[in-house]
Amino acid sequence: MRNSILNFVLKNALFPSLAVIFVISFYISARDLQAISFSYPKGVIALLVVLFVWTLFSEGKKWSQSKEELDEANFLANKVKEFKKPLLMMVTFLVYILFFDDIGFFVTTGLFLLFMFIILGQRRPMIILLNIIGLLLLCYVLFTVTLSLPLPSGLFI
Amino acid sequence: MDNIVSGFLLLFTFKSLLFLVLGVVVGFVVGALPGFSSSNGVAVMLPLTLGMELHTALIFMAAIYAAAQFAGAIPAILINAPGTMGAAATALDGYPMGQRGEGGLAIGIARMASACGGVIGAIIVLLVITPMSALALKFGSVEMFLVAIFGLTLITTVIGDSVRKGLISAGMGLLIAAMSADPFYGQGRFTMGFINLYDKVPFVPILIGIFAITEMYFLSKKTNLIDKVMIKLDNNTLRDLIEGIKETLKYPKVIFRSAIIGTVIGAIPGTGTAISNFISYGIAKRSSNRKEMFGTGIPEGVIASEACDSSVASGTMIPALTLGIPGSATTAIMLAALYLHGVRPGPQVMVNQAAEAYAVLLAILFASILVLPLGTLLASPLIALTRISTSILVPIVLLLCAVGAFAVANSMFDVMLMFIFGIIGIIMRINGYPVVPFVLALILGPIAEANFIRAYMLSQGEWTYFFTTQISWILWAIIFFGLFSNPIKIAFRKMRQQGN
Repeated sequence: MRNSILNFVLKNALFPSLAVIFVISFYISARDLQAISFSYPKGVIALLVVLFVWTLFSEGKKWSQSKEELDEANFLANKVKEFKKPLLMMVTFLVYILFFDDIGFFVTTGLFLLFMFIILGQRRPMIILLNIIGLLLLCYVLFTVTLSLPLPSGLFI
Repeated sequence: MDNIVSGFLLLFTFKSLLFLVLGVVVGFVVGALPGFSSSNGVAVMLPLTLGMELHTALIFMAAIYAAAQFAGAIPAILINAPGTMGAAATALDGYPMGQRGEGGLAIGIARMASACGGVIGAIIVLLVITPMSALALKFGSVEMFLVAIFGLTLITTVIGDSVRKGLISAGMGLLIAAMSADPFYGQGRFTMGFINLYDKVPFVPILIGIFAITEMYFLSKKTNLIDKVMIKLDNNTLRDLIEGIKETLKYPKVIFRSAIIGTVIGAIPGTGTAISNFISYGIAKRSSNRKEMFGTGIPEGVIASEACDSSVASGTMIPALTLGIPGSATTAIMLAALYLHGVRPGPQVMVNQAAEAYAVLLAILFASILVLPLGTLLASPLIALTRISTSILVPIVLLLCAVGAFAVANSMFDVMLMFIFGIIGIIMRINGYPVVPFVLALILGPIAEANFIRAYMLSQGEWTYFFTTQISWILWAIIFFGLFSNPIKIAFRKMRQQGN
């Protein structure tokens, strides 16, 4: 049985696929500009097109030769299980950066650290608490006091 | 000479020396953490340098760079897990020494060899950088464009296991750098309506995302940084220091040769420490009269790798300061710091910011010397640091990344950009696309484009203009050789096999 397309794309072809979309969008957006403004990116795009064609042949050949057996039904479930911790971490990080401007840096940072410690397997409450307090203090001293950096205050602090 | 004195004056202020020491300590930390490297550390610290003067920022980063080169040897010796790429060759003899109960001595030797290599490398660069920068000033726009392409070509052919993947990575970096307005008419090209992308694509959040966020993603899968059992050391650090010095000084030839190899290879963009250390190790082995002992735990092996490792940092500064071409990922981030402080990297840096440039080289020299006392003092805490749980380390680094990306321009756009490029970095690594060519292309992109357009205007549409000078011919030849030497070699080998 051949390797599934989804597995193959995730392992080998996701970046070039995204790159192709980016290059096409760039070309469409910039093609009507004056020749000199577009001359340099056009050269880079031409090079990338050649490389993408090469990639298509190279990865296609690799896929057609792959003989890895794959349990299609459990593939996604296994992937989610394997990447559960890092994915949860990235989602938590995204939520944190989406909200720290509106809710306030110190409140969101406290909550973010709490969730992150738990997600990443830290079970000792004392360590969690000390780290959160220590890091919030460090941020305050380093960024607000020393570097005079205006951190977002949002609704709270 | 005046510039060196000016560099000394910039370095020998309380503030600069304070950041030099701080940089060495931070460098020890990032170097000792397996999975972390000087580029990760410098990327996370870059936004903190915003409030500093240019020379302080550069001194701080140079000290991190120099110190991390040594600290990578600690996990390499104790757990056979190099803290930095360059320390991989150190593990070949350092780890067997550790297994024999000579871990403290091996660290002592690595410390002394690093200090010697760093000092020799910095002195060589101090001597050659003036004539090199005079030569660089003769480069016109064609040569500068070709040098940028040459740097990228070398990087793509050296890093990673596929030239195609390296080239795609570099091409994407060049195209992303070209999203902003063109340098001639100021027309935005692919800004997607974001005003933040109009002036220039923000480097710092992208660098933080690509290096630090990506690394944290992969680290978060582990419970601890190291899964292996660590070799126990007795805590006699002073004895290790003295023994390390004595043992290292028995091999002056190895030290000098390795430092020279490191400086020369470091000056070639993209080659980096991993290659130079193995070359230095190989040469030391070949020229030793006890070749068969290499790999079994002998001091020469550790010295050859570590002296070379530390001198590479100085070598990478030659193309970075004279041409604006980063010699390594860390120097790419240092060039981003120049941009942040309103300085455009290129040959003019050695004219307009000569004192700052010399201060950086002197900072590497003194940071290498500081490796000896500070490395002795901090040996035990550094060893303990490698045992840190990822559940503590990852949230701390992510927090620093978020604040750092925000701090650059007080902009949430930059924070989101950091996150997006973190995801892109993760995908690149999973798919086997090297991130270093991407980052270097991002930094080199504006230099390459500005010089390309200038040359294009001067050529009046005549493409032969790109082949008019001798230097340009040499550069074209090197680019061609870099790109096609491997496929030609493979084709010849196949033909010979078919002939047989």
